[in-house]
Amino acid sequence: MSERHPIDELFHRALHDAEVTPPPAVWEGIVRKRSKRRGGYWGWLAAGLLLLGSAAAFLIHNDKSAPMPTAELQDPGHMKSNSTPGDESSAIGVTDRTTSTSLLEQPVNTSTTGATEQAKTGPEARPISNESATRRAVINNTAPSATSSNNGAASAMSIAGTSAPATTLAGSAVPNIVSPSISAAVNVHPAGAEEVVVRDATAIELSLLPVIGPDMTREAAQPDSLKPGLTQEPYVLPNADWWLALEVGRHNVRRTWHGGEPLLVNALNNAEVPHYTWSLGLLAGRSWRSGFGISAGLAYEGSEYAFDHVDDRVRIDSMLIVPYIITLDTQVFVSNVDTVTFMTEETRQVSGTNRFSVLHMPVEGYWHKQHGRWTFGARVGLAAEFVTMRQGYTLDIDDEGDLMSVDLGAQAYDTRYHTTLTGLLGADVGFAMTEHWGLWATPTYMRGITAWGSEDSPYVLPERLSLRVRLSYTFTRIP
Amino acid sequence: MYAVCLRYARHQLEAQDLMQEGFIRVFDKLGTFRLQGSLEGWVRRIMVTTCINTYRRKAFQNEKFGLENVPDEPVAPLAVENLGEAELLKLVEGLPDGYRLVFNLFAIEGFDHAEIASMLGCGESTSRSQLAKARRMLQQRLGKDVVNEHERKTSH
Repeated sequence: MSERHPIDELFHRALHDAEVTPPPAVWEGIVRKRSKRRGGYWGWLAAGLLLLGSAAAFLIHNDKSAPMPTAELQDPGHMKSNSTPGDESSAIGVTDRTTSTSLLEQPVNTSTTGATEQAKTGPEARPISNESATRRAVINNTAPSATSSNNGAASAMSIAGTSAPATTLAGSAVPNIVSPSISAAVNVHPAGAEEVVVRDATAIELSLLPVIGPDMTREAAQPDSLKPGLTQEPYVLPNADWWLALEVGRHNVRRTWHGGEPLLVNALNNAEVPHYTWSLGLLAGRSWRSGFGISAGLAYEGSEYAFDHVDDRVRIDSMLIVPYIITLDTQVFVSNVDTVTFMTEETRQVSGTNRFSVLHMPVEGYWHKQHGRWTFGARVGLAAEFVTMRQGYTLDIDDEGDLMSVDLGAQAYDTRYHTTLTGLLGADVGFAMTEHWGLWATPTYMRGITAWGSEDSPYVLPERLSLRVRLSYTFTRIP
Repeated sequence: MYAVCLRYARHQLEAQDLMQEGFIRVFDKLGTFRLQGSLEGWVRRIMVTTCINTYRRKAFQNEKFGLENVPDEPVAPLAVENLGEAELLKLVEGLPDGYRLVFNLFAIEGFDHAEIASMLGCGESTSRSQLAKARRMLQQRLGKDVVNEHERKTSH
């Protein structure tokens, strides 16, 4: 340190541990940006909150020795302030918005944010940081603010949530009035004062209720005559919904032959031209709130495509030659040649239409993200495909080693058409027409992976570029 | 942490942007914090890295990192009694980007030239020269006697 340049020393001393309270707009921006980014983890966050809320509710309601909250606690009407009648958003969402807004608007909360920021800087921060954090706790405990606390218990939990980071980081002594599960929740988010308050507020509300459900606030907002007792089981938003869909698909199909004689495989690949097909199917699935889902179904694909091949055949004719004798003077020559072979090349143009019916049994997993009435997502899956009916032509090698067109009506060629396993990858775009009915478009790429029981014979694997359009009906449980 | 951002930024709005970006990173990476070291140090490191990355990006976009041609403008020296955190912060803010970055990292954060060179992707000699120029500029701004006076005051 003694070697430090005077300028460096001057600035180091003055600025290394300096703290400046940021304007409230900075925190507002952080909260806004965080909430935008958090979309993908919404499901996990909601699940975590529900779990924490459940744990808190269980602990509070089962702890007989713990002092009960104030009389206000037992009045379910206190929930009115956090939601409006008919509000479709969940209690968690409403609380989040209300609390974070008030936090930024109210001077006392703004200063608390700054205090927390200062307290975060650790033991070297000024003592005022700890005092501020503690003072905030006292203020809330004795005179709950209009937003962050609707009752005594709420303010108590809010205190713990706000001051816990200060306790952890700056060593401030705060009354230990928070359950262990809430402490854990607070410690994972020490830097964001807003987030801490939001989470605690949610936990408190949930802790007051026997069963967690977003519509609890709606119940509380009802007139007293309609309000069910807390012992009555409330509506709980289902975790997942079933759906059924009718699907029409348009496919650009290219069939590729594999295995067997290379000559035959090449000829088959050249003889069968890529084509378009239609499919009609019925799908059923289950979508979870996290955005993930699975579906399975049955689809019929009618496939009709051109077959075109020129059969080249060489006809071999042999002619028996009588042995002959040639005499030259006294010498006699006997010929050993007894046959003459004539080779005749024949060509035959075979053109026709092949018709196949394929039964698909897809099992797919997907993930969806909703933006208003629009839904976007991706899906991946596997499908088993059974060729159920075929007409037309195929190729085979005859006894003379030539490629010959064969009528499938006359010969089955079952060994070539096996059940195949196809992998698929698709993107979903959906539009919710009503609460139940939705229209979906799914561009999909499908590719055959393997064929069962092909052994040595040639087998075909399809490759499809498809557009699937679905009309779906979601069986949402409405309270 | 806002003060850290103010030191690296050219003005308050930029500092606010840096702080937002830094804290969003902190939240994103919170799961990777091992709860073994100091949380403050961890957050501070993320903030400093955010600031450095921002200025490295800007260095490519707007100007070269080493500002060799910054004029040494003669300025009126400040009185030592007026020197508070805010004034010193303003002096740091007034440095050109390259000077400010190196000065912050060396003098205030305590990194050595090798570390700074590795962080900024420049040579150690560049780091040294930037630091020397930053000191000279600050010295001019402060006045020659101010530093000695400050030293004398703090030693008592």
